Amino acid sequence: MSRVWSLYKTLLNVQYNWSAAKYLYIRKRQRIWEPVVIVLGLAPVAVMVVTGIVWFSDLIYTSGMMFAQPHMLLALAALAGQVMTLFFGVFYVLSAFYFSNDLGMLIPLPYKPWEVLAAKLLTIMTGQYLPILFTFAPAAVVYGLKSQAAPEYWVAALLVFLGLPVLPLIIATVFSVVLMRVVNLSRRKDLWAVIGGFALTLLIVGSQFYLQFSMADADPEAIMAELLQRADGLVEALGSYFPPSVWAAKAMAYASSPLGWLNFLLFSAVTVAGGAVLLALGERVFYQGVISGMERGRRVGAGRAKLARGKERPLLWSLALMEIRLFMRNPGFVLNGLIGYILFPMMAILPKFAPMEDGNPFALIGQVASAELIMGGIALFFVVTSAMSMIPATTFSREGRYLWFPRTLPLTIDQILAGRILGAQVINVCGSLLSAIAVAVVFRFPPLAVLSGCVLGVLLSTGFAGLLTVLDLARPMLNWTNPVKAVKSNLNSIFALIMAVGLCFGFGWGMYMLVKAGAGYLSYALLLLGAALLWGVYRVLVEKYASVRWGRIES
Amino acid sequence: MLKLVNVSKKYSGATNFAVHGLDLEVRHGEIFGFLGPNGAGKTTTIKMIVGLLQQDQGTITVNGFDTRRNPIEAKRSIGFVPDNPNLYEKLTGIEYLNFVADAYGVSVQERQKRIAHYLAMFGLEGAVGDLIQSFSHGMQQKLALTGALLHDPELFILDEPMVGLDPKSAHLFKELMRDHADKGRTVFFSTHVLEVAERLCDRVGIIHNGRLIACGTLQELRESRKAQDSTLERLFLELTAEEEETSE
Repeated sequence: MSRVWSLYKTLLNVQYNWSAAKYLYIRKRQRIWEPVVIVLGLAPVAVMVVTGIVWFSDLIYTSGMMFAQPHMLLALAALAGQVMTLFFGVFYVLSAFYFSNDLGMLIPLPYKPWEVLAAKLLTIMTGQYLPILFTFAPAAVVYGLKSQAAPEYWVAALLVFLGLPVLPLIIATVFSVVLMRVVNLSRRKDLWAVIGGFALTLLIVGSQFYLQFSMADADPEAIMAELLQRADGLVEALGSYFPPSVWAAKAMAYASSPLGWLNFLLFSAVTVAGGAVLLALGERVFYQGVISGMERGRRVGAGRAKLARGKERPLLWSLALMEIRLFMRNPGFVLNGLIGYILFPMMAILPKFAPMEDGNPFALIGQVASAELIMGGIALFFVVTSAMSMIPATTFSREGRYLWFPRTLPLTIDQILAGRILGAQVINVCGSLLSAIAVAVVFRFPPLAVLSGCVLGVLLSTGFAGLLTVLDLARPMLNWTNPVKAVKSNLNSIFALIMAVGLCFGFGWGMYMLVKAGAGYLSYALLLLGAALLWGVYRVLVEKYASVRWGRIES
Repeated sequence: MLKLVNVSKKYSGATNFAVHGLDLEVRHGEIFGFLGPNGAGKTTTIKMIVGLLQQDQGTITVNGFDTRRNPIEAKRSIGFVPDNPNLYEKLTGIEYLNFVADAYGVSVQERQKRIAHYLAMFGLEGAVGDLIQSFSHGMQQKLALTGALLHDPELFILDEPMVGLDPKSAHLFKELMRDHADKGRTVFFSTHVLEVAERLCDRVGIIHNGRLIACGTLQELRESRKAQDSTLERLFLELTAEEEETSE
């Protein structure tokens, strides 16, 4: 076990760059301002998130009290934490197990497959405690304080917290191990890995909707009455999405009685059983999947015919094409970057076909929002997806050790940035357009509002993408072993999302005020002005900063 | 062709200079070998010439262009192959070459002619449509070399070009360097393989602890040491050992 522990510590160190950070900030005493700025920058966001969850938890607790089931808060919090882990787990697991460069180094070491699998899984799990700390923990604390819980509750809460991400990650890993074993039998491994990854995600999301729909087939009033009458009716209804969350909730709520510990035992037993299945499976097929994935066979003479393709392209398009190719051919980038383009329309459209459509926020927008707000929403959607795709915000980080190449070419940074913005925007505009049009058609949004929203969205997101490329130029993350780290563990991706949310709030508030004042038509001007402003700031940064910075990157 | 005047570089946080007061001139049509022990400053110097690092002090001129004032023009004159050519693995060989040709503005006719020529020379015709990730180290080196020569550069810079190459490929590399110099172009390369430098180079420079400790033809180095029969290896070992003693 000490071998697994040692490997786990090393992987954790590499994953979070501890040694590198210690070397830079403590030994060399360089760029100490950086962690301070990062903490100060992220702290307000963390405070906002926790405040929102505390407020929401309080609301749920009070509502639950009305039906004598306040612990539905615990079930909801556990469910949210576990479903979130299950959903994102697929990407983390695929990235860490199959798209990571360190496996070529780990496989020759005298470790058994299950030991590598376990150490890697523990590393991913450790990373999952942070989001759970921000989602589950505030709810558990609210429940404990409001119910004046006994000390046993706090012990149970801590144990549940520690066990919460385990089972979802095990499930995600089992799916991924099987998927990659199948995928790597094919010649076009990368393509099938992407298709398989998206299929797994759709399966997980789809199964949630299936559960919702199957409940909705019956008479809603009768179901509600029954749920309220049964002692844990609401809790169990919530847990029907993922039963272990019910056991977790009950383990905490009834911590002072044998029922609570019985539930905890059930929660732990299923987790341990899942772990055992995974390790057994890992021992049999994990390495086979990885090794066949590493096989990069060439068919002799296969590339000969391609020689005739030698042709000249405009430089800007040549640069953009490189950006698109290098992004789209890496399954880790595609799985993590393009999921937003699939999830948003899926979340919007699937409930449309559910028997209970009333609660769908997108349907509500179509009914009550003005054309200007629909237009604005669509335009801002392009901005959010630009950040979510992580393409412009990690454009230099993704290059890593390849960055020597563009830096030795006779190109100005202005040309390079323009090419990268174009490449990022081709993907973003295609993805966003498909999503926006799908939602607009299903919910019958006014065509003119949709069209103008798309045009303004393209303009807004172009300036925004420019700013994100400069952000990544300012602080590229170049030292990675796993290319997925360049997008997922990159703070620039988070900064991009924060900037996008900030822009959405700013423009959203501005448009809302204009509509309220009866000057909704000015929303178009507001967004146009915003697009010009973003582009203007980008150009100033290129002129004053980018070329100096480009020459000074030490790679 | 290449001129370095009083060039110094100290990495941030380091106590010693990686390169200190380096003066060097490489002429048109010559093959110049840049020699030195590990950590002597060879790669740092090359990185400064090609624009991957900026010198703290001094000027570097390539084909008459100051690398800080006219970096694009200077880069246009250079073809560079690094010691470990990390090429975009997710591109095919031909996509990579076409991109390089686009970046240097090589016309369709020229690129097709040169691509065909070098691919035939290196035996890569059958592989150029495959993803680079399927290439061996040697194949990647050859592809990088083809890319670096597509625009027929005035100054051809190679950092440790022989590392990891099989004898046939190493021989091809040497022939290519000679051909390039014979066309009136300049070749500047770093190496640890002193036998190669001895046979191939018109002149050599030896750098140690960031300082140039010797520069000239092999004959000039022998004369300066008054050792007519010395091999380059012998001279190199003596010079670097002396420098060690002086610095201590």
